[in-house]
Amino acid sequence: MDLELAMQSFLQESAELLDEMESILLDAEADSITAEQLGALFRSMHTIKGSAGLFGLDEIVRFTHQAENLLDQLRDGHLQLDAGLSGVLLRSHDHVKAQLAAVAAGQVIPAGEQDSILADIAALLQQPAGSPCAVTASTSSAEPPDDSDWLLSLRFGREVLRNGMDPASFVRYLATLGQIQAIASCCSALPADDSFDPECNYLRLEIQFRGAVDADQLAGVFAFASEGSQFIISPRAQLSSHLQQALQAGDAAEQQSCRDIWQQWGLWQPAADSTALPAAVAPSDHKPAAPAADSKAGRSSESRFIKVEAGKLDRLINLVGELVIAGAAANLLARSHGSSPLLESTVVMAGLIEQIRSHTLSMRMVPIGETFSRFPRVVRDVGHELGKSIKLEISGADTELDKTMVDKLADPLTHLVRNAIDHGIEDVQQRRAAGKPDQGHVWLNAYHESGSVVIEVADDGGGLDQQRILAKALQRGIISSDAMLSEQDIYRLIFAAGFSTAEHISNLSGRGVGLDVVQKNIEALRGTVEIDSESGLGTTFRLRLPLTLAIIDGFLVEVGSSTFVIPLETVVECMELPATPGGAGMPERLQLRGEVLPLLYLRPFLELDGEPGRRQNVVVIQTGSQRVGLVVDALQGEFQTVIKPLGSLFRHLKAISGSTILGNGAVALILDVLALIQHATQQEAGRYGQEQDTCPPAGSRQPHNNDTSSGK
Amino acid sequence: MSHLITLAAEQTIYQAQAVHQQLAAALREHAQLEVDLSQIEEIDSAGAQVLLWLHRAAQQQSCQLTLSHPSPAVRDFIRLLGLQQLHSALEAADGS
Repeated sequence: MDLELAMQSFLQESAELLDEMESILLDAEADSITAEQLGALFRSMHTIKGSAGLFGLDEIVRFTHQAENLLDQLRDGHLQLDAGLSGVLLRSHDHVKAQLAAVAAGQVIPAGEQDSILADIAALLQQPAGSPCAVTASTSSAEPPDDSDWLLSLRFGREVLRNGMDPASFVRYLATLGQIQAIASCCSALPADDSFDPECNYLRLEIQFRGAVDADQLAGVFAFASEGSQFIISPRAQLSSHLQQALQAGDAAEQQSCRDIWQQWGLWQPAADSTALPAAVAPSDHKPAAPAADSKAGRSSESRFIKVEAGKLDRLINLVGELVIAGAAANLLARSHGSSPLLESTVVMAGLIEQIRSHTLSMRMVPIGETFSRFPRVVRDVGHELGKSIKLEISGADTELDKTMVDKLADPLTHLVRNAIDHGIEDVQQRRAAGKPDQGHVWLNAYHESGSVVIEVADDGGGLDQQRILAKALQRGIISSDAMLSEQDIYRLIFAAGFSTAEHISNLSGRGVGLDVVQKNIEALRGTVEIDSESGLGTTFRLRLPLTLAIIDGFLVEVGSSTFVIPLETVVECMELPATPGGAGMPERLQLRGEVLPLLYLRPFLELDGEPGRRQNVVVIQTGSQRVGLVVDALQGEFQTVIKPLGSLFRHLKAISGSTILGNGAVALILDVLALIQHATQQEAGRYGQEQDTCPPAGSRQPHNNDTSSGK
Repeated sequence: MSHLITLAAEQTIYQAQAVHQQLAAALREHAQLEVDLSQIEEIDSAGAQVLLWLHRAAQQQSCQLTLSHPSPAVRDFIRLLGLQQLHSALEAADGS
């Protein structure tokens, strides 16, 4: 077996286990923890320890062993998960992660925080040893003398519920006296037919209890319910007589189900004499259902996923791309031959290729939840650091986008979330003064909208202060004092490098790095950032990203002798350009069902030669809420487009996002709709705006693109 | 199509009688029954007994019963009293 490969899969598996551990711990902070989650926590450390042992990573084994002990105590209910404990566990998680990272990088495993964490763990493990109920396999300290084991058989009377007593309250009270090690209810008396009276009690409880109490105290617990009830309470040492007594009451079915319970607990063995029982009941025995459920869940998730090397998938996608082109060529050929059976078979093939294409692409798509899942931790840590209580709400975690995109989004999103907590959410005092709840809210939201993915980071903080931003921008010399800026433009100033409105500089932000990086990152993904802000109500950062994929559905348009591709998702409708009254020139906008539609003439914009035909067409494209009409010569219809990246020479072109090869071998350029719309709306604003439009039209910077046969 | 009943937030002795009647009627009328436990915020022994009864009665009348989406309150209560029958009924629903 290749040790290197085994090591890789160990690292991968450990990383997943650590992620799971972290998310459980963070969940548990918000909510109570379930037995399954405790089991999963224990398993994560246990598995890492075991695998690390195989590779001789003694440092990791030593550390995880302690963490595992702690989790074992927790799982068995000897410790309660509170903020302190979960903090220690999170730090342990971080430490193991750092250890593994060092292993992956082939470095010496750093000591880091190890000693202080181990000291904390040791302190936590010590603590319950003094309290009545802590014995574990690992510490196995002597049992305190005043601690005793009890068996309780509780047959509550039929009338207890009517008398306002609930068996559950007794159990709750009992739990305050010591440790309920095992509890099971026997409901064989409960009728399945119409004789069931919902206000009668049919429950019988069997309990194993450990605590520093005596028989009188225990009897006292149930004194209120003595009427019509039968309670048998014995020290564990008198097991056999207890079981005998307990079996005297009740019918055969009840006796049997009690025996089943005892047998499960290892107190009673069907064949042998009941006195011959295991000397000690291991703590892990008293939850028989949980481990079974855990292993079941583990198995099902294993078989649902296959790990595939990313490179293999990329090669497959490339090939499918070629297949799409070849299919289109075959279709064209069949059409030119006019042979209808041939044409029919290429159509069938095209359908299949289409399916292969979409399935292959969906393999690359991952839910953004993978990225979102790191934020509960970010929010928790940043919140703690700043002393703010923040609730993070995530929606749309199953929105899918390209894997490479997901990876590149992590950093900008982290910046935005930190920014929202630091700058957005106010102090508790300010929040109270504004009549808001103490706890701040941060929302992460993702959804698809007209061919792009939108990710929102919103907070319910104070909103952006326009006056302060303006003042700051003036002071920093980013704008001149006579600039007239729209709301959006003002908000956009915060993306300028070296800009920060925070009055005091915190550890996290306020140093003016961050937001400009966010904008650069998002622009590198060909996305945009919008800001919505309401003073006193909060701010929303909206990232709009294209679904950059290897293959898209394109819409072919013709300008002169060149063909261009517009991503189909962005196309709203097509129509003929209405003849201008009096035939005067080119209208700059169009009335479309009562709305003004700015027009962008592709021919002059792309500086193509030739005269427009007599009939021109308008393709209405949309991103977000902005619509623009592109004026083209002719429409050619839909076409599956394999995106080929542009050579480095053309990378800087704003209006072109890629190229593709048509079925007939010609090259067509793919238009960057986002850039076109931005240009058109800027141009439109420039016509009306009083300020000088400082940006020259993008067209003047475009080289000639009319030579489609020049291929690459 | 299974018939869906969503139980209200409180399932205590005060509601037990009415809920029992509602469920008994549903059992008679439908061969497939799904009971949604997600809204339950408070449950006591009487409420739990109604669920136990439902579970047994459904088996007896060969009605296909699914107890779905137990709320934390329900899960806590099951753990508190060690109600294994309900626990396994919920497990079965989770697994399907």
